[in-house]
Amino acid sequence: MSYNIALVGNPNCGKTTLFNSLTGTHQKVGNWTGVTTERKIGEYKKDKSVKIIDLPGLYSLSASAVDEREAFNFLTKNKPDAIINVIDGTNLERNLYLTLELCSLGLPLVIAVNMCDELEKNSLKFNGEKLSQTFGVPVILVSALKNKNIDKLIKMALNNAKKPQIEGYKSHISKGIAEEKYKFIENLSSKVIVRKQTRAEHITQKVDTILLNRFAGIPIFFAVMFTVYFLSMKIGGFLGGYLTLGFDNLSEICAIKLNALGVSEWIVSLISDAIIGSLGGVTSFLPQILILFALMAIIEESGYAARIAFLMDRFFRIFGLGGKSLLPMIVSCGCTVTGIMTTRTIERASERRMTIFLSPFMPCGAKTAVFAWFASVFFDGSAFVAASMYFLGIICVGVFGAILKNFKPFRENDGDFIMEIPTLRIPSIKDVFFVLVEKVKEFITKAGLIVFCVSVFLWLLKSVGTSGYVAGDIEKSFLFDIGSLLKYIFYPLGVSGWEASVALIAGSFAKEAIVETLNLIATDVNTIFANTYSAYAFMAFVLLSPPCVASLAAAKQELGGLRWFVFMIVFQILSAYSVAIIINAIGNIITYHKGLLLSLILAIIITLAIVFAIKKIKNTKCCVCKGCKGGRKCQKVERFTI
Amino acid sequence: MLLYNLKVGQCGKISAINVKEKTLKRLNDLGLCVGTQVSVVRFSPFFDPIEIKARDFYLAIRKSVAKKIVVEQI
Repeated sequence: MSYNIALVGNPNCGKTTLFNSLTGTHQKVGNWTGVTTERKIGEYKKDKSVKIIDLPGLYSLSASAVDEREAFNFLTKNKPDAIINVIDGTNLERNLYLTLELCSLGLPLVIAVNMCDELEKNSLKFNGEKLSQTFGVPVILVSALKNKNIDKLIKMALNNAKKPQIEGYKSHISKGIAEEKYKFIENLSSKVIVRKQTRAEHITQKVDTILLNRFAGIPIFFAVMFTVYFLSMKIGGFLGGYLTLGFDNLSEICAIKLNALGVSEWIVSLISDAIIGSLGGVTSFLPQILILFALMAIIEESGYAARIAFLMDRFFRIFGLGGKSLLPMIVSCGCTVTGIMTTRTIERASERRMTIFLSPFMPCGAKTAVFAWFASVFFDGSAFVAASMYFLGIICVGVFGAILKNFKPFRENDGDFIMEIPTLRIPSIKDVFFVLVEKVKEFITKAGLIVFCVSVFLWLLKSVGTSGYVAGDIEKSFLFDIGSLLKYIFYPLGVSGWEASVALIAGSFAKEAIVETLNLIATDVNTIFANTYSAYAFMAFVLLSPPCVASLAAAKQELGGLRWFVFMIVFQILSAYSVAIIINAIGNIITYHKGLLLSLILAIIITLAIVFAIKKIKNTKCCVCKGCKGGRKCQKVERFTI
Repeated sequence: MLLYNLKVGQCGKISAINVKEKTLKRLNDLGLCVGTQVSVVRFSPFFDPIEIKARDFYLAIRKSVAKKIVVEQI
């Protein structure tokens, strides 16, 4: 007989760490509210018949965010055989609030007090017996991180599940109002543990006075992000150079050997150019992507990501985004797919939709690879270029957020962002390492499947034309015909080469394919792009267009409607196109008419000032009662809207 | 006195929370209710949101919410 055991608890109390220890898997952990947004099922590593279910964290059973509802629905509909209520021992009172609610569900319950190593370190005594007596359920102290008592915990949960169901703790309190519940909990908690500031908390406060400093906080944030990009570009670029060299040699050796064997010319070209060449092109960016991921994982796990949300909340609110939408954006800097999944923590549908629309604007690992290539070809490998793309991404999120805000489905903003600021933690090397292992695996499947298929297909189009196999004469190939048709679309970007349009189409599957394609077909990059500005415009187009097929699939699933999905794609492509055109236009003005630039800037400032003034007037004078600030819509007399 | 009017480091006991039901529910779930002791830890660069400490944890809440929580300073 098999058993289902569900892990339930507050966000960020270590459920996923416990899950990983129990099942021997390596699910992503982090140090902020809402890392786990879907339930995950695994087998207990010592007994395959026991299934462990990791649920998203929740503060109470009546919560409203998508991830919290998922946890609640699972508990009430699927009825697991046993529940393990994971409690953060250093934050007892709030955790017990959920325990009180769980008791009223009537499912077999075991309380696992996690982070007992943390308790011991601070010489805090935990009276588990008192807790057990009060609730009438078994209590055990565990440490998910140090694997302490976890087997005992499962044994207890199983025993509990097998036992005939005795009535759990059911009192009027678990149905009462919050004040009563907390009074009860405070009373209980004072008997279970003596509250005291832990060492970690003390250090966190010390560090936070610097990290969250009112003046230094935001400069530090920019410096941190710049360092992340700088390190991944410089160190990654250095390592990647060697990989490219290796693959180039391999490709040459292969060509020589195959030619010596007398294999026909097109097979040699297929193997050495398309297959080895494409793998080499993609693999050379692996070091950069990995370093970026490792650093992003450190930012997430240390708890700095939640602090960024705290620092930037007010700023992003101007654009109709705030607090909770920032975390998906930060995560998107690593991978947009994970970023889109993270939007599940956002309660309000309109804000969630907006975040899904905008988070692909942040440069993901694959896009960064494209920027690295452009940086090395056009900008002497400057790390500023990739970092500037990151800030361009932020600006575009702001600008397009402000535009979207004017449309009704995006308007309502979550006015009450309330978020926990977690204690800072030193990220565990093990966790960062497994994030990287996951990434390498993912990268191999992505490079191996999508990029490989795309490049072989491209090679085919490149080598075959209306007159059959055309070998080196690319201008007779089908690819040239297709590219020549499409290149007019990108004329306004200052991109005149047909190769660029082909690269973008290949890149719509996965952005790594862009570099790959340009390597394969471009003979002289300087003829494709009119100047460095148009190259930069092209990069901006890449930055703002949808990152890959996987991210589109995730967005479609999370938006929950084909209409929204199509609108999102159109929106992203249009914004990418318009921003790229603007950049190219500015570039042209700088190169050809320097004087024009000043007048243009002046014109923009004046226009903005006028728009702002009009808005201000509109907002202050009400047309109906002349008293409120409702503008055309009177706030006092609701019916008389002019 | 409002929670927002407390200075950094000052403590207060919540005496009323005047927000809409959904927000109140959220605050309750997170551990803030009438009678809870809170203290202001720091303001963010734009004075909004603010970081407060309640029970054993730290919360970021917006000015708009902090202005609707009435506290008695202690």
